[in-house]
Amino acid sequence: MTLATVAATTADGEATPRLAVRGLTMRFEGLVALDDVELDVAPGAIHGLIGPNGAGKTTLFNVVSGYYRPTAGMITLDDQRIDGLYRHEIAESGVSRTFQNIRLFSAMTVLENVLVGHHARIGARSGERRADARRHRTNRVLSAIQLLPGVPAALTHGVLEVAGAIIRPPAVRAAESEAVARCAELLRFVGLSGRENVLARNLPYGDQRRLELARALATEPRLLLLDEPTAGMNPAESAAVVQLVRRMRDELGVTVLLIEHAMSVVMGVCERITVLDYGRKIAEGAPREIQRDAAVIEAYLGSGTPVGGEEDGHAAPRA
Amino acid sequence: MFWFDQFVNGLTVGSVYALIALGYTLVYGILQMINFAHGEIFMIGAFAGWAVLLLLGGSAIAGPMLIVALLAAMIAAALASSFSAVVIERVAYRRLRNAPRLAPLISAIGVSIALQNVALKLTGGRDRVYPRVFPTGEVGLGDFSVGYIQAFLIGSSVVMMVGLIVFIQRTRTGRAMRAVSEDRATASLMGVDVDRTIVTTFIVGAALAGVAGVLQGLWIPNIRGTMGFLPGIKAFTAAVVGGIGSVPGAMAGGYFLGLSETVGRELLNELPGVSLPNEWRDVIAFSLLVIVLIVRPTGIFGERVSKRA
Repeated sequence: MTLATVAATTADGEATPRLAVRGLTMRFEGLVALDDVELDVAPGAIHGLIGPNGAGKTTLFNVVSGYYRPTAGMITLDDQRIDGLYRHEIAESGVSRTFQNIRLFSAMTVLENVLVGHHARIGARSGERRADARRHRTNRVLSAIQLLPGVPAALTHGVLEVAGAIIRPPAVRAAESEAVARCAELLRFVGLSGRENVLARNLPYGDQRRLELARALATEPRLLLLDEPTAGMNPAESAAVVQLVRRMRDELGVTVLLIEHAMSVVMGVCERITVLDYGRKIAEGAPREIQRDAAVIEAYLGSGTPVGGEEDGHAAPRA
Repeated sequence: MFWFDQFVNGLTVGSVYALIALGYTLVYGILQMINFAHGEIFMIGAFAGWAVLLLLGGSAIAGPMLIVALLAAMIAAALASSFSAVVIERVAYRRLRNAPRLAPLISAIGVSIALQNVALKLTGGRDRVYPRVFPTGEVGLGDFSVGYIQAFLIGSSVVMMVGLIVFIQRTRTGRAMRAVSEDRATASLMGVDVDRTIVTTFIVGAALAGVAGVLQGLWIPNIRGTMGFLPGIKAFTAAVVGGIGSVPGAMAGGYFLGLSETVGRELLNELPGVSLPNEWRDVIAFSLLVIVLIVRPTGIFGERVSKRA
């Protein structure tokens, strides 16, 4: 999809948003991290999410990806509701992410990390959704007993999985080698070819960020949440990542929502920007509008009181 | 030859410990929880194998039928143990996954005692005896020969352990298990079904313990409801000695413990004024546990025990 068509579908507003967030509220004991947030991300967009530290940006990612369950509100991906699903179900529906502080499987190799991302796409999946998840959660006393009818299915599935892995019928072998090929391709895409068998923890920092991108892409996302993809990078590295983000959208058709502190990156790559402050959306628009927005300038330069503590525990250095 | 026989005995006991210890270490690696009901999983496997051998003709089993019967007994044991483990995980552990760490531990001890007593009740408290299906005889040369049963026990254990390593290192499921044990939240965000992976881990650990139950039954024919308790604790010791959470650690720990109880004990007996009959093996095993916990709490191979802050 080209930039022009993205702009068109965004402007006429008729296309279903890739991601729609409605009335999203996230409360932690006494702290309102997200307060009635509304957000639409158009298909094929590169959408920026900015705001001062503690504004709720990472919390929003954590809620959309299922790391947290929202206190209130609704999240849909292409009109399919995803809030309340299990995390791996959200990933399977097509949401993937990277992390502000890198969270690779450090004791596994580069290729294995990407293969884990590809896990749910390897081989045949049962595809059954556990719609009963919510019901189980509500009744604590009976919940353990309610889990019992699932025993035969779980046992059968587990035994077949183990047996399949031991016997390795042609179908399993084919799926695995296809997965390896696909993941090697993604590593080439992010520029990590030739490092397949290095342990993730032995990669240099910038390459670890690239590996996170490859792993996220391996889940075959429709929506990719990037949490400060250029944090800690020098201008050259960060320009390369920006280039990569564009290519993900243009060549792989992935819609991108990204948190970024480096304004040059945000203004350069994003077609649309949403600004959060104290858990509320204070502005939304094209980069040029955002740069002139009074509320945004106030939030960034005004009070100067940092909001502490919530962003999943890790404070980001301001770029 | 005396020392060679002691060595083989050590490997035999060690194989059983190692197979059971793997279940402790796998579950610990993925849930940071000690599944104290694991000894009973071993016991259930022993009974399942015994039942199948009796069904297939008991001590009349001979010739080619022996191979079929042994395979059937081991598969039945693996399935029975896996089934029990899946039920236990659902009933006793899953709801406690985010509870304080002591809660699932206590729950596991409760399950352990309950299963022992159910088994005692069902068997009327009397021993059951494995049919003697193995031909007596030895393989090897002169002084260096091993009884068929012990050779079979050690051989099958090694095959299973090699299989386990390949499984963990080379397969999609094994990869998911490693990812979940390293970082459960991230694995789930990348599309790995954590519940399912945990169930698979229990199944793998239980299958190994179940087969170990059959192997031990073939070697030491008397089985009973409480038979899982001591090997369970010993295997837990082996897993801790090897470094709990570490797969090679559990294997090494199992053999180390087995050899300590046999060769190690006899070596101590060589010291002037020392006389430790076989009954001392438990003292040796648990002294080792205490020493390891004091000197090197992470065990031989363990380093990532408290990686998570």
